[in-house]
Amino acid sequence: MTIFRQRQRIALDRLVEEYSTRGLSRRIFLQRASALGLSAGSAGALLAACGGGSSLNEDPNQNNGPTEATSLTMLTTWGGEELESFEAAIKSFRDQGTTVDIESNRDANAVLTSRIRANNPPDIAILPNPGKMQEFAQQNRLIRLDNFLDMSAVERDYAQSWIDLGKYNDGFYAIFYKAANKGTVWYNPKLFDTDKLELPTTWDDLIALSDKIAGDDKYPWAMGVESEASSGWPATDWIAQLYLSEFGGEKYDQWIQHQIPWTDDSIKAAFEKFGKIVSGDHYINGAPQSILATNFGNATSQPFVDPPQAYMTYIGDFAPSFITGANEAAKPITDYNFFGFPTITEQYAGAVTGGADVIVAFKDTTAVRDFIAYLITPEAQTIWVERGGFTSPSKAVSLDAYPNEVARTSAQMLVDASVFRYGAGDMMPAQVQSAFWSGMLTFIENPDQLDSILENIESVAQQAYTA
Amino acid sequence: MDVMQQEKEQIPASAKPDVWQARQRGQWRPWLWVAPAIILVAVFLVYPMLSTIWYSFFDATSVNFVGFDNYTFIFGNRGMLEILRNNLLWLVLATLATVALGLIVATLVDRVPFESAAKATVFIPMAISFVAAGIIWRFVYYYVPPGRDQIGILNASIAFFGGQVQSWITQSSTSNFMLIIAYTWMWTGFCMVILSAALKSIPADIMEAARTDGANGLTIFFRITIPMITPTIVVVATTMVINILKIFDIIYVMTGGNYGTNVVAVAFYQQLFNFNQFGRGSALTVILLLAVLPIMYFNVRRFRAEEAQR
Repeated sequence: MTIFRQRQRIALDRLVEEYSTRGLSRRIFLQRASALGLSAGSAGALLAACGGGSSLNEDPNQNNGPTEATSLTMLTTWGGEELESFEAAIKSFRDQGTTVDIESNRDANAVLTSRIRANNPPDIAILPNPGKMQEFAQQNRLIRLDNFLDMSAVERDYAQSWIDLGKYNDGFYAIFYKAANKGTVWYNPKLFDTDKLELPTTWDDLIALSDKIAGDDKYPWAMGVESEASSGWPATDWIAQLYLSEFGGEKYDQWIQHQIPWTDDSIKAAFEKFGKIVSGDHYINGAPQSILATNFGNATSQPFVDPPQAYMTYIGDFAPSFITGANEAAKPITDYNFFGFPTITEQYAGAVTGGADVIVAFKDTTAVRDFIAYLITPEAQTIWVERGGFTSPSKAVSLDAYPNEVARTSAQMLVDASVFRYGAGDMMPAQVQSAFWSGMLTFIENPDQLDSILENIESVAQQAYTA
Repeated sequence: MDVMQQEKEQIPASAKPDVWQARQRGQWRPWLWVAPAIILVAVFLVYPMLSTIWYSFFDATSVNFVGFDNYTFIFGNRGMLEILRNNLLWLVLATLATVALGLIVATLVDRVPFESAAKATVFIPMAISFVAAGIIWRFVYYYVPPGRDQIGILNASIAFFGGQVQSWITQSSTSNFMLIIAYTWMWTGFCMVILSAALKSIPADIMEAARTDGANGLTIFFRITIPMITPTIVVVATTMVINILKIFDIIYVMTGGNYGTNVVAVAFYQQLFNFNQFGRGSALTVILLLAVLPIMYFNVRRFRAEEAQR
């Protein structure tokens, strides 16, 4: 902070006194403090010090209307094929004269953290999970989208659960764009046909089926959790789906809000069910070390290459891009297909976990407003849907637009889900998510250490949730 | 100071004002020369260092003072203690391996016909970036379940001789050592080049005298070579120690800090960029700084002592 001249100091003291005695509004306080030469950040800090709320920053939504702009910057983790499809989807928007600079970075979280810290955020960011969005909204970094979006159209096109996920307090800050259905078990239909196997509908069926395949000296499962710095996440998807299928949405919400401890029996039960797959006799070739060493993408394609190395694998509905990447000849329905995650508790049949990339805005400009309004139009989304690899959470996008039967069924499943919940790890504070990921790695290697693994995640959670 | 005092004695009384001006000028002029360096060091080194120390006493948002909470967290948390243990393991093993191997190679190829070729081969990995080296070694250790074609050279060789293939970097019993081997591969060349230069500076007549007195190769190595190049060994070892304390890239690329391989620099990165824990991240760097300081101090003193000898 700068050292102020004497007169400014006195004026500031008076302002603080007025604020505490006469109850000025926060906005006027901030305006007057800035007029006295304080930066927005220092004024916010002073306000916070006077008990004017926990916020460090001036609320970006207090400005009057958007600033004019004909270009915008965007940060995303999409790369390769995803980025190409996105560029195709926004082509007609660009043609109208607005420049869109896309920065693609796998480590977008780290980039975003430091840029926000330096007060230089991108105009728009695509976050891979809503946990970060909540954090930024709490810090007053995000622009409220309900200030300019037609909310009645949003409410018509999006299920209430998606809208609720984009809310913080009363404000609507994030819109869900590219969704993933994580209630899907992918299998090789040809192998199932030749061995005359039936698709399982319950967890017990699934275990019986796995045992049957293993009994024929084949490997029923392919699994890989290696994913560089975020290794372990595919296993946390397992736990989330198992938990939701067994204990339902209410208990699931308690879990992600840390209202039940990690050492709870229910969480233990989910881990133990997952452990059955991991250490099942002759379930996975080379387990447990191969699970840790195999990249999740490679594992996804294992049942679908020639010769197939396994019968099935559990992963979200983004699997086809890995399958066709490893085996270009693989065709939907005949060469690869999926069945819904088996029911564990009858009451919660059809419960689906998933994920979605969320769009948030850090600056209120005309270009940003137009861009977001454009992105959520069914026309813009249909472009990517038709290209494949995109499931839209918007009901306005016609199911006919999906490129094949498998993608259509998956999108249908997401829309019809009796209970839908966001993948558990993505809803937790970053530290807990990371502890969850690495806890899964330890569990896969040493399932008998379950108690100490859960205690460890619990200790991280206790600190993260109280902070 | 000595020079100035001499000057003072030589000044004739009549010329005093001029000389006084000259002396004034002489006093601030050196500061002018060092000012750019001081400013650069202050802005880019001292200020960030002090602010990091300052922030290490604050919470995740750098707003509320929390005293030593961040430090008690680090020393009271099992995961963090594992990180400190790993750093210690690296410090001992990687320093020993690089310096010892560097010295052995330098001695063995000294004054043999293919010396330059051998040294170039050992030195080449230095020219590869850490990230590329990490990826190369991931391929070396690559694991495929037994019964299928092994594509990693280590497991392929083991399978060829009928051994049991291992997933080297994902099992916590071997992971740390495998990463240290990759680091040793990269940095042995650096140690070797410097130690080799030191070997060349040993006067030939001492060696000849030793041989004349009937000393064999090993005796010469332990009784003459090592004592003669001890200062260089110390410099190389401290450079390695500082380097290893900061080790980040290899671990980030090869394991991401999983499988019990996390170290301070990676943990600091995670706390700062992934978890938004500015206080804890800063505290970790301060610990790293405190660990490096004594070595720096030792190095500087050593340097001064050598200067004094000249």
